[in-house]
Amino acid sequence: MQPDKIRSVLRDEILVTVSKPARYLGNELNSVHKEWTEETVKVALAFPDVYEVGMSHLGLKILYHLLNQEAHVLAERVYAPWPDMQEALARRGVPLFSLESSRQLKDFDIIGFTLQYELSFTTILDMLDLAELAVFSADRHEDDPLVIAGGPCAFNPEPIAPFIDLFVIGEAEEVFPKLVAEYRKLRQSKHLSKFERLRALAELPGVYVPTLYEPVYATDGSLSRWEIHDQAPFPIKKQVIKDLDTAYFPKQFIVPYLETVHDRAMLEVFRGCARGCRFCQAGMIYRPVRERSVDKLLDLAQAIVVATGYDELSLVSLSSGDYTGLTRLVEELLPKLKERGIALSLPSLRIDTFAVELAEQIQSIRKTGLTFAPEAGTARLRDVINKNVTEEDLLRTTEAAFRAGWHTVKLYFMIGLPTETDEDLEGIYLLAKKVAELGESVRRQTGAGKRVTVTVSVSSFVPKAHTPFQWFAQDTREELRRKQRYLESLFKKSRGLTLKYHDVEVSFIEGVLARGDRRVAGAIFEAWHLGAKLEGWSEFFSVTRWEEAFQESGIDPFFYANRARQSTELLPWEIIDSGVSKEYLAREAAKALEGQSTADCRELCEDCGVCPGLKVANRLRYRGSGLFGG
Amino acid sequence: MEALRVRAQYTKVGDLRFISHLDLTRVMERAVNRAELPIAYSEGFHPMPKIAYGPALALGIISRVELVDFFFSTPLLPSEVQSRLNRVLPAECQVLRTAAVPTGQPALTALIDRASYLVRVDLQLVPEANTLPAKTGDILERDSIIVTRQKKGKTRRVEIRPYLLNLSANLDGPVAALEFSLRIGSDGATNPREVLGLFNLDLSTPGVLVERTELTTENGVKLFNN
Repeated sequence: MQPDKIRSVLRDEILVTVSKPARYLGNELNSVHKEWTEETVKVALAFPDVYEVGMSHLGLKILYHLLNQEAHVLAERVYAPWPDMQEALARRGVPLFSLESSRQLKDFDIIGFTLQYELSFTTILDMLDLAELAVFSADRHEDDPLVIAGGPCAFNPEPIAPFIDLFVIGEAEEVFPKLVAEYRKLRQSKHLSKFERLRALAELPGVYVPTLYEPVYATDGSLSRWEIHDQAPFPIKKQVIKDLDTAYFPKQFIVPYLETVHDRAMLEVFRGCARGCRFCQAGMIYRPVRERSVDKLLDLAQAIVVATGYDELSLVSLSSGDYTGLTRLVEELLPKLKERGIALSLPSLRIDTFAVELAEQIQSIRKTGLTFAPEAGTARLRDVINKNVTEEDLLRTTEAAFRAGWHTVKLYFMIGLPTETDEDLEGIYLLAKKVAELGESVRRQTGAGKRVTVTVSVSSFVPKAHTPFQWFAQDTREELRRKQRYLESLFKKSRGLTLKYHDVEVSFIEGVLARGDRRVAGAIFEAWHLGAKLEGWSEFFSVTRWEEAFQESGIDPFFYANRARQSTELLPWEIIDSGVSKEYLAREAAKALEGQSTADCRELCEDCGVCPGLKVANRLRYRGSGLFGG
Repeated sequence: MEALRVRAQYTKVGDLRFISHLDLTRVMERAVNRAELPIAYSEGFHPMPKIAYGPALALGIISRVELVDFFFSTPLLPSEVQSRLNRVLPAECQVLRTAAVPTGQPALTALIDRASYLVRVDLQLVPEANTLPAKTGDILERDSIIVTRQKKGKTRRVEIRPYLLNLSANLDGPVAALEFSLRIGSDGATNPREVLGLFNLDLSTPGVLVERTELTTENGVKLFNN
């Protein structure tokens, strides 16, 4: 369908009938509308969820503006339409289109999906189908667009490997421009087949072309080896940018009309995290720590607020409280923003009193209450997961928060962690109770009016690839439900405490997908075929549909979610080299079982392998100054 | 403290008809920030920029008569407000004129009592709209017009006749034009969608374009001094 036709059908017939039509306009402030020419490589950047979720994601915004900076590249956006829009499009035979130019996705050279969470996999299939493309790579045509994917879930690409032509492993700023340039060169050689082009692209660092690697399974169902075709590179090494100050960061961010999930300007202060929490995939795969300088951040902040007009600027990273230049940054930034009526926010707070002082300074945090993540209820279990926070830390921090006038505190915990016992669960309750009692006693002392509320949010642990816990069995659903009931029975007794927990079924499916191998693709296909899509939205998630899909595809979900792996087992994601060595992960797993913690790697290098392997280093700007003395 | 109140008449046309009133308020606030205008802020713990809008325009309707009051902390020329805003506002949302207004005057929402609309129907796409002129007479003669509203799964029957002030229609070549004025009462109201419904038309009927053409006080006085 021609773009003019799509445009007019949208405006004359569809947009006024669907919910939130501003999702589909594509003309937001700072959106880039480049001319379509023969020479241009056209990239559709796809987020497998709806607009408000996708437009909140910083990574894809960076990539969008980065690609559009290049002379012979254009990037446009596409998100999953809400079901009412899907129906409206289907009724009129309109295929999925890009927001900027209303082109059908088939007209693009490359469709790039970002993989942020496992439950979005079925939406990828759905979007391919809405784009009138075959969902399996093998069924797509020679002249169909290249379907590629990247992001954290690409660190175990196997469950969706049959749907994707090529994966980008690591930071897209590093890989994507090279990939597009190489694609453009290859396109000029008209005689090359799609496979030949993919084979050539596979030579680029950080590019994984799954058809070149065929998994072979042992009789016990585990992976025995890969059959590597045509001497393709193995393993695929993660690519990173080395210096964030010289790396591209956009100033003219797109500003949505709609209120998105994170509706504010975002400034990335650093990438990576050195804390080494053993459950955390991001902490492992985004290593090492690379900080931006304060001066660079101040420049960027100034330019971004002018270009966007946002009334809030958020300092983002995996743990912004760890930024070595934070004190100076906040001191210099805050008055400049205040002058313009712009609020500053710091979403990831550490558990220390300094964090509260900072939060007090940055008043905007008041409106939401404070959130801390002790993750586990006892000191023993916190040592197991290497969350190096003590009870005293938490109590001192929350006391400071209550004294500073907060009366709502949210605590994040996980259940189903390795070695967990009911004592650890009781620890969650006892810790929360202590925090609440502390809050009440502060209230009595200060005579502050409002009753203290402590909300405890408990998620179920999902073991992830490339972490020390990658070998561990996920708790069964029955066990997780029992633990939730036990927690409920404890919390029932107390006032001022609210308990929230996640759907066990969702965690189970995440568990299957997070550590699945290539055969799991069959179940993903069946689930989609049975109607799964937009499963990040609880109203669209159905475990019975997944159970049917497992049955249809002959996949045993417990084999993937609830089975402990042997240390000698070849893991499906070992085709990807995150830079963190298997030996380090195994050492960390062993230390976990002994209840031994590991220091922050900025204090003491535990030889995880990232820095020598990727020829990078932790890049701390202000060692020895500010918070983190080195 | 606000030193100056500037009233602006602005457009919401083209694709911007598909953004909600709430979205439009964000467009305005960000434009004020980007234009670096000295907007005044409300008191309180979470200060908000002082911008007061006229009655919200329903999604899907275009207008060139929308009204908004800006309160500034330092004096500046209304014409400067207009030119600085227009540099940063989208083409579909441009300020057409501005004027200084006494700070003590009641809010736009208190002043504005009626809104006029023009509906243009493409007769090629909706041939049955050639009966619009005949139907308007019937409707005006009625003492009571009951419409049904759905809210939270409940159906309610509502009398809208008191809020429908004028209604006329004519055929102009390939277009049927329907004009009406609605009272925006504090005791109730109707909306263009319900009026269109009386003619079996909807905002989403292909070939139907609805425009708000006027906002006035109870006595028909426009809110601009010139």
